[in-house]
Amino acid sequence: MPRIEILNITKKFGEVSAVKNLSLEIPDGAFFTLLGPSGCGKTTTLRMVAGLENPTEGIIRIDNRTVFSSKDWTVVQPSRRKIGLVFQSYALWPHMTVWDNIAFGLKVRKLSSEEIKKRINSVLKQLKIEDLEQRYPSELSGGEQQRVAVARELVTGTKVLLMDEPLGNLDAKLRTEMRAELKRLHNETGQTIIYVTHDQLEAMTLSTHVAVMKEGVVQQLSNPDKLYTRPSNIFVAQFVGTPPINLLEVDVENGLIKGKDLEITLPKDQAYVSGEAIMGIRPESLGIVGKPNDRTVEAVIDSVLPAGNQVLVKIRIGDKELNIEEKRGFKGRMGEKVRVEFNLDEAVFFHKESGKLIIKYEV
Amino acid sequence: MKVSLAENRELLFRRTANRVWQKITTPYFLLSIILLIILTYFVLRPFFEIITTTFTVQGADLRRIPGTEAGDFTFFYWYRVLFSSMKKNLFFQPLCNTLLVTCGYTILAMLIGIILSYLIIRTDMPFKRFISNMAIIPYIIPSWPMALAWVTLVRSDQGGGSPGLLQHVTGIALPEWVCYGPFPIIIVLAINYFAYTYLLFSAALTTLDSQLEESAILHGANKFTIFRKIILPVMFPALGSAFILTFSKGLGTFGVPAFLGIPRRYYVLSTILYAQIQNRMVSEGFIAAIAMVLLALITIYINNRIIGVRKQFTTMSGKGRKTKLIDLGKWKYPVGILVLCFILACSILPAGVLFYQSLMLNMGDYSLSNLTLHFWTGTDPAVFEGHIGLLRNTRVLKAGINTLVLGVSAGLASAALGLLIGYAITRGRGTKLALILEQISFLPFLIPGIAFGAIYLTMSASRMGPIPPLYGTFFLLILVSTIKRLPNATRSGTSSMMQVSMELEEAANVHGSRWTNTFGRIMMPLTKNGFMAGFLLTFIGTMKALSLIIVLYTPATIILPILSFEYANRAIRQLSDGIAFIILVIVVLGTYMARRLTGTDLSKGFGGGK
Repeated sequence: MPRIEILNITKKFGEVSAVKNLSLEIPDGAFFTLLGPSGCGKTTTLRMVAGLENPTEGIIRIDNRTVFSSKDWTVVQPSRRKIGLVFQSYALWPHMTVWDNIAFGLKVRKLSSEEIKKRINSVLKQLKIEDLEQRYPSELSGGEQQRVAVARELVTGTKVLLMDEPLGNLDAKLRTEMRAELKRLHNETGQTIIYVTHDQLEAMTLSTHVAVMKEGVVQQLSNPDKLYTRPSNIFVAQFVGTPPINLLEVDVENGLIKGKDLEITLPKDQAYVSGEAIMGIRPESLGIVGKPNDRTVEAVIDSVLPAGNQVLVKIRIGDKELNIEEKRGFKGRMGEKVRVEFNLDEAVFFHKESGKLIIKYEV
Repeated sequence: MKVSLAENRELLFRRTANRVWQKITTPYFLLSIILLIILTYFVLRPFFEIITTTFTVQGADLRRIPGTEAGDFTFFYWYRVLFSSMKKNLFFQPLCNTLLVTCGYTILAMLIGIILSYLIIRTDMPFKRFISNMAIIPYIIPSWPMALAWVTLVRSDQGGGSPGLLQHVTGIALPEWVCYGPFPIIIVLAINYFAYTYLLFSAALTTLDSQLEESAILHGANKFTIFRKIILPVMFPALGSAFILTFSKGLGTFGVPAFLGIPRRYYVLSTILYAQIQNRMVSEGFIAAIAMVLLALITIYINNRIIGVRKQFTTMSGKGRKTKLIDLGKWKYPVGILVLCFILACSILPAGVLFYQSLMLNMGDYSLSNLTLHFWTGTDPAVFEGHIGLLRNTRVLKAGINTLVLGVSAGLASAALGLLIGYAITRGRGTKLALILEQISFLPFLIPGIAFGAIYLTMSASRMGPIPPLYGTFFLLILVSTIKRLPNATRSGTSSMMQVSMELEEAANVHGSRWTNTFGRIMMPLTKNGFMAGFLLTFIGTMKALSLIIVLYTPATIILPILSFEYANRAIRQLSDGIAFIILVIVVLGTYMARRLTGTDLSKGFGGGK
């Protein structure tokens, strides 16, 4: 199974750098997601791996073979990189039937018609679209087009699959369905997948590895869980998680967290934090309680937004608004005065100046 | 990692070499370069050839320019045209005539267009649908058959010759100037070109807020005042655009002034150019051509500026409103019938007159007993100096076959070239190369057909690099027709390539498809409607093209429009009109097909498989 290495890649469009000195190693069989807001360089990175775009600087290796190097300007054509690419628009050829779309790559590779038939039937079955083979793309629903686009890439037996926002054009329900489908496929085929998305939920549910990008630079590379619990900076903390993380300017002194209208005790195992910092705390780590203790703060309920299983409560501490996730059946009213408990076990702290995560130096 | 200087240099060399190789083996880049070479050779070169010819001593003029040899540099021709005692006949009179005729028909065409669109969009005039459909016909059909029809209609026996249809019906002999000279040229061209104003003005009128008018009514203005004081000023930018379009369209037109002007020695720039080429005064002719190109450039420059202003204007007030129709009251039907008659006179009447003329045994005798099919199917050599029927005449047959072959070959060639240039332009969007390609392929639009033909006449007389002298070959006609139609073909090629998402090509590329395979299997099928439209446009254009071929044809390579022109010159009107009728039918049918194709093309659109 192939490994993909990206070494010091820079891509400039005129004066603008879309990707800045990016280095990534994508292990065999990984479901590797490039996550970030639009314009962060994730699609450009994918297109450079595919060979549709040449980097300005850097080296790309697929399966230990250099497919691009700016040193001597080695460029391996996309067709020789042994990759599959699913476009955001699916790029199904509108004048060909589903069968012909899927068969195209096999015909180019000059496979025997029996082999082609065998492979297509198997992939149609795998993606549960057997009865669509004679339809044209315009006669398919969005989800079906998506499956055909994936089938077209799977059928060639490629070991590397690149996907550019493949679920971006689907409605919410289909998206959930296709997410499960993609995860199943990844398990079945064991392919190395590079997946581009701006949807953090998609990234969290699917990936084995996530690289969060901003303005052409990787902000954090980790597994999805770490991304959520230990965001490496404020940008990542804010980008990942809905409702978003609460950020508070605080001053930590002698085991006490002091902020505007708030004072709570710092847990012992976070004693490495001190001085001015930004505290990040997820909505589920806040709770409305009856009795006061050394971790509660006075607050006022701003609004109550029931959302089925959970209730999103917006509260104000002084003039600072925070999000709280409460259980179903929460009975608070707007304007009511309450006590909010800070569960600091999962809280994170960032440097006030740099916005970077303050980490405990392990000796 | 330390690298020695020598190693470093070698790396740098390899890197540069690889980069260059990668770049030039990119299909679109390679294609762009090839196209650029072709275009430079066949478009740019003629352009410069025209200019240099006017400064070069021609072999025929050696005696007039003593002490020189053919090929020497000279100001002789420019001096002769602009300053000598012949300047009036050679240049200034035709120039003035051109300006007079062009301004005349432009103003008239715009008046017709404005009134028509106002009546159709803003009033409750009857027969609107029919009228608006028919209004496009004069714009589709070539103008010179209309000129022929005009002559047939208003000719009188005063100037010698047989009476026209009008004289036959009313008994009134119209004066000579109604039939030949600036007046009929202006009328015929105005009829041909009013559709521009009609289309632009009615589009602008539909977006005009009728509340502007309603508030004027509340202030007590009458309909005419509203039209003059409110609508016209607001519509001015659209009008300016229509003016420029109409003006530049007819600037280089040849057929109408040739049919209606030359018989009475009334010359405009295009016809003087023709006369000078016929008289072997090529350099003088090219100076007229340069004047035409300059006039075209000036109008296009002004056009661009006006369109720029117009865009700002429409965003300011461009709110679509449901328009309230003006009640014409008791004038409703009289106006409707009048307009209907006018439209029929512009669209059906010319074809009818031409067909009728082709059935007349003796010119000027409009009685039913004079009708014959001789000029279509007759074989009796005793009739009409032995000219047998069109459908049996080998010359006509040959010209017909030539026309079809020319139309089809030039159509295929320009559509294919247009698609390839369109591909290179869309894929290279933003690069200098694409911009240059786009601009060069537009150039033939600026050169009037007759000048374009003339320059290929001189160029084809001798060897052009690897290409042998082409004069007299049919290939030359195909080449010229292809290149002249390139601006239209490129435009339609570019717009259909723009509709094909780049990802469709990239998807095939990732699958290992070679560029030629991708182009043939993906791009061509997806742009076939655009290809067909480009083909039909050139095909129709070739049917109309009189000016382009008129100096290039030989008896072996004659085509129908020219045969019609020849017959008309020899006063064999039945044959010339019959041929013109055939061409009208082909053109109308072809345009109908092209419209249907582009129609489906536009409504469909090819995104990324959605």
